[in-house]
Amino acid sequence: MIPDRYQQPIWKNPVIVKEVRTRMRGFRAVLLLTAHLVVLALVVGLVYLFIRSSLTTIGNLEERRNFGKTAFGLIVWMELVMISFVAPAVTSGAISVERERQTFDLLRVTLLPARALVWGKYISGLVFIFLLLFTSLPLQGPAFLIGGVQVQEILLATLMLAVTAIGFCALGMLLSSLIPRTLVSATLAYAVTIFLVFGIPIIVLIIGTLLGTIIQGNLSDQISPLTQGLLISVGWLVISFTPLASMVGTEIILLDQHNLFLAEIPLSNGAKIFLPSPWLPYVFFYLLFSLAAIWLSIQLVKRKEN
Amino acid sequence: MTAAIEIKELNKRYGTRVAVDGLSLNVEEGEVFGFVGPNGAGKTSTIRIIAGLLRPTSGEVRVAGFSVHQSSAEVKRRIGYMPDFFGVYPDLSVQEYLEFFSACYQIPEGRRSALINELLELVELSHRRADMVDQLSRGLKQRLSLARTLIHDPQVLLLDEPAAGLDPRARIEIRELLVELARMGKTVFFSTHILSDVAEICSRVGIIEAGKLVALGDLEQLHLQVLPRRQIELTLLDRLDEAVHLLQQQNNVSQVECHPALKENGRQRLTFEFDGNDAALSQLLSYLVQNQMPVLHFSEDARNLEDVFMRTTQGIVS
Repeated sequence: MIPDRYQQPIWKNPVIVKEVRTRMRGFRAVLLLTAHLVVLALVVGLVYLFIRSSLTTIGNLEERRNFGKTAFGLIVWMELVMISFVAPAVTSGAISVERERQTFDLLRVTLLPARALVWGKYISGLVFIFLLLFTSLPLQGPAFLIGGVQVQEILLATLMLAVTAIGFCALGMLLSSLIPRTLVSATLAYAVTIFLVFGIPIIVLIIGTLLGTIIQGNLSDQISPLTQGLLISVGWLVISFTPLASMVGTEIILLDQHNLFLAEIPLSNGAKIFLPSPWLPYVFFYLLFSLAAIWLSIQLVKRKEN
Repeated sequence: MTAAIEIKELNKRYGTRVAVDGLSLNVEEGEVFGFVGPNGAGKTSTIRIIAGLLRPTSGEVRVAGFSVHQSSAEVKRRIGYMPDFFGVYPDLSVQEYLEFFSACYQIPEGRRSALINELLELVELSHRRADMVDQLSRGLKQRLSLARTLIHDPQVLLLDEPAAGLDPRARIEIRELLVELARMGKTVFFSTHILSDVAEICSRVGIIEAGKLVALGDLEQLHLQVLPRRQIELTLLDRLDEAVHLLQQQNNVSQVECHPALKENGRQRLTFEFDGNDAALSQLLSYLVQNQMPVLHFSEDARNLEDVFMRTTQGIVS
């Protein structure tokens, strides 16, 4: 007897089972996983060789810390680049491909609710990125063992990378539900992620330099502390929207101010304002956006054709 | 008794184009209903509305008494929809494909394997269960689609051009499957423009053109309605002149014509027009046999169905 309501536990969601099964089938997934780990391992190895050959005293504690920090920073940056490219690839076609290969109608006439379809597609894409992300965690080992990187930093970086994957996959899902053609939705998803990862940091850098000049230069006297506080808060908000800037911002605050949660920003009049460390609003915004994007995707999939 | 499908004053417009125009019809339980019309007549739009995939502009559709608009889940349980395209996942095997859809229909896990075996046997695909779906021929994909349509044991089957694009053998096989399904008590609503399919298996036919239902009824009613006189072909071993004489004495027979050019192996053929129903036609055959006419072949000209179609439709595309 078929139950009255859709009641499958998430691990039995047929879409997740099918997607994970077909994604992991054959050489593609193994090849991607291997290539990802080999590239990361090569980078760590090259950094180590470079630092060792350029320094005569690798035994020096400070230099060892430098190696640790450089290797850690590079791996996190490369993971971020990986997420920026893989997340749109795994989700931006999730629904549009179903439309293109004419299986969307077949799914819609079944008892599978729109929410199970969307969550199924979303989670199966996310699981693959998490697989890439977590299998590369041991590569942080040398940096951690040699020194210069704290456990907090590794945990924070992993959290922010995971949240980035959650957000970018949700963006891909939304575009895929909204736009019937995969090529268009994938292009848009890449455009948005590249803008978020690389575009905003450049804009932030330009605006930050300008603001820094204004605040610290002669003009700073003409700007009231309240306006300065507002400008800094807006800049802070922009930093918190972008993965790279918020990661760097969090790291700077952690190292300079030894504070995981609050940043202390001095104003020209000697007063200080306290803002949350960028990773806090970043995690909040991206999780909120992801929930909203998934909800919207469900509504779009549910919609009957006119 | 509740009709399997009830359509009332159904209208569907795409902008200014009218796809379905005031369509009303009922399909009874266990019926094999042929929905015939030229390309662009509104067949697919109607089927997609019944399946709950397309929002109608106005009108009401009920399946087994449930409104498609208001009780979509109840309707989904009762319909099996097969579109006019395959819709297959190329990276799944035949078995996995059916497992996936059985999970989508929430068939309990313990029942899936036996159910899939039964369905593969029904559509004669058991030997291909491990093959990837993409490796199947067009005809086999169509059979697999039919198996998918049946996976939740629906009461009503909505089949959009199930035999389109298939070779003659595959078409006959699909037709036989539909007959088998009707025997199992399913209501089959299928659209087609292949008239021989309709003649072979349908208990009733609706002809649609430019979104309007232009004819509705069983084949005999349609014949009588559209073509009051049907063309009958008679082949005899000999005694052609006597047969002509006997036929000319009948009130409902006219235009008796001998075809000497068609003589072959001593057989003699004649054609005549007949304006009675099937019972009267059967009586006429008995009359000829009782009068010692050596009848070899007695049939209605197959082109008559095409004539019905041609006379009811004008080639208008909505």
